[in-house]
Amino acid sequence: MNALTELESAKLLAARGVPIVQTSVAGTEEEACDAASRIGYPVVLKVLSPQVLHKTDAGGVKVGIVDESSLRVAWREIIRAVRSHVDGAEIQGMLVQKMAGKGTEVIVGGVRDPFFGQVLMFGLGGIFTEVFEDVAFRLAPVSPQEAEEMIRETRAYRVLAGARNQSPRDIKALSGVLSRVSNLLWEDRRIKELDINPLMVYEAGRGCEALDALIMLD
Amino acid sequence: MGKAARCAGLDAFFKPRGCAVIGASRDPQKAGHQILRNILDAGFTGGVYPVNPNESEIAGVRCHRSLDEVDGIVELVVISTPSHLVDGVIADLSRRMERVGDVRAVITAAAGFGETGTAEGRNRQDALVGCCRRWGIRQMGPNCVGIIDNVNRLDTTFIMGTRRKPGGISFVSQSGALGAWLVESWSSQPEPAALGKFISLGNMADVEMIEVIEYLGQDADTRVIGLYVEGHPQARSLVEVAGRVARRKPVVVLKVGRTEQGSAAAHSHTGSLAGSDRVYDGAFRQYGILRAGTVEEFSDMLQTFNSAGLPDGNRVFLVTQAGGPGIYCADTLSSFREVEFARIAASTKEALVKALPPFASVCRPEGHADITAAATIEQHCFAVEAVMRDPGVDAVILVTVPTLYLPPPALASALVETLRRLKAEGIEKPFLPVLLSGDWVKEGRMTLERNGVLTFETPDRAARAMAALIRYNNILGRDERGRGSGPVEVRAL
Repeated sequence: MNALTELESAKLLAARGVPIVQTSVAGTEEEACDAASRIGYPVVLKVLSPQVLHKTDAGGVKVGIVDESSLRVAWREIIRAVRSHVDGAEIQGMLVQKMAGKGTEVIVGGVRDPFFGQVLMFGLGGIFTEVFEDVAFRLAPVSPQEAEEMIRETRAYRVLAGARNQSPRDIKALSGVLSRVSNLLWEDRRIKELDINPLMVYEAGRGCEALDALIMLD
Repeated sequence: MGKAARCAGLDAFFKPRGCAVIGASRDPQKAGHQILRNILDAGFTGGVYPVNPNESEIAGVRCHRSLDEVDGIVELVVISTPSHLVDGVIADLSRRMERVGDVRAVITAAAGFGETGTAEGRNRQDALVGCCRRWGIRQMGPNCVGIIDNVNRLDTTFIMGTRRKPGGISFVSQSGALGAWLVESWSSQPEPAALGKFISLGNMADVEMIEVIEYLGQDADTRVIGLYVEGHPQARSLVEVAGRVARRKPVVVLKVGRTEQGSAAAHSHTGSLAGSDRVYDGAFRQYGILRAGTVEEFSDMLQTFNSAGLPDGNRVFLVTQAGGPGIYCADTLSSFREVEFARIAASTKEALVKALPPFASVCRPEGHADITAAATIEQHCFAVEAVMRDPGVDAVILVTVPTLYLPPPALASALVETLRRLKAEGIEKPFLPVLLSGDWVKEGRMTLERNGVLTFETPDRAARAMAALIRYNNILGRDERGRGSGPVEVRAL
């Protein structure tokens, strides 16, 4: 099993037209400061290490960083935390990402099923997926229309469509991303598992962005 | 062999010009006896040849010492001999093929083959299938219950107590026991289900499910296909083929293994959630294959698709004569997003209020008229007729609990008459009646069903069957508008 880093995974997805949140790679603390001032605060800082699959669990993620001094603190804390959680973790640097705006978090996934081959998954992020297992599957490739049916099939659809006076989310853009990810799965058979978790879906007309991605190859 | 040739090959299972039973028995407790009985009872029109070296006659039919000795044409051979004797059966079959060469299909009812998981069982299966392949003979099973074709009057199963009613339902089962369960329970309904073909696949050593689906898709006698699926190594081809057929006729699956857990070895969220049943479920939806949740729902869906036409739309009107059962039905019906309660015209409402008992509740809420327990047979028929005539209604459910002054057979006859009159005027909409309940309404239900009107055991089951009709309509509409763009059902909460 060969796990791609977040950066490699994001590049593979971006090449297929999946929008990725604005991201810079920083090799040093100074580079991180430069990147953050270019992107604009607030930012997110994430460790870039081939040995760290689940960054949050290893203390490798800091969100809501508002200025340079907190960025410098965050940089050092992440290095300390990751080193203590993962023995011999090779830290290649960190990703500086724009802090995503208001939206709804969803999960877009892919997996190679032993009987069906490449399949696509969709679910709402957080508790909806973890506890209620409110997810839908389709066989790749999936058209944008089929992707929309897939979204509608979940109970989460009503959240995206604008439950409780929330503004409706960009379901059309989400359907497009699902379809594009399914095409990637279908055409690149090296992919064994894929998670975009989360994909942030903004208000209708404002699209969506992958905030994190994990791809496993054979 | 090309695909067309393979499909044509299955004809020999259903329309053979003669049928031999190897291992036919005089002992009524042996499968080899019941198989012969069923072939005779079903009224098979070709030659019937029991084979057993120790008997001269079974069930009034001359018995043969070997298959090779049979002098008539034998196109189908049913093997019920125990599996340890398979070498002798293979030798007999080979001799006949060398000498006459007429056998085209073999159904192996006997168990003790590949399903045992032993080297011995697998070797026996390989030897049997190898022999059949050599002679171009198709093989069903081993370890299967057999096949029924009520249209061609053939029954090679050892299922007991079958009441036969030919019709458009074809049912394919990966489990012999589940197959027998349904066939038996269909026989004990007030009126048997309209079964065309029943196919028990057994070990699928040669004939397997995908080919059978393709065959039934082309079979003019089959109106609806039911599949009991446990799993299939070529799952993707299975749904692709079934999905193609589903554009022409409904395909309903009962798939077990719902609780299977996702792979524990998965590294991603997606991997850990991808239990194979969830993937099956998504694939069924994607390809327009209807999934039943229970055996009862499966049975109801098959019978409904066979007997009721498809509605023009999703607007359902509910006529009830009893409060509780009526609300029960409305609850189930409204749990399906694809179902809409019909809004009838003001003139229809007025007519109903005028004709029904004073306490009748008409369209409060919309789409539901409770005609109350005071309603007479005439008032039942009036209400059904009025809503059937209303252009805002696509389908009707009737729930009634006939009491002592509503003799069920008389009510049923009056409803049949009303429907016949409407049909003569060109008004035909799905009408799903529920007469409650048990033996008291059995004769009434028989009257309706003998006149082509399917009845339901409970209000809940009628509501689910109605939702399935509408769901299939949506599937067909989705294809007309381009794959995937139609309205879809939302999973009931």
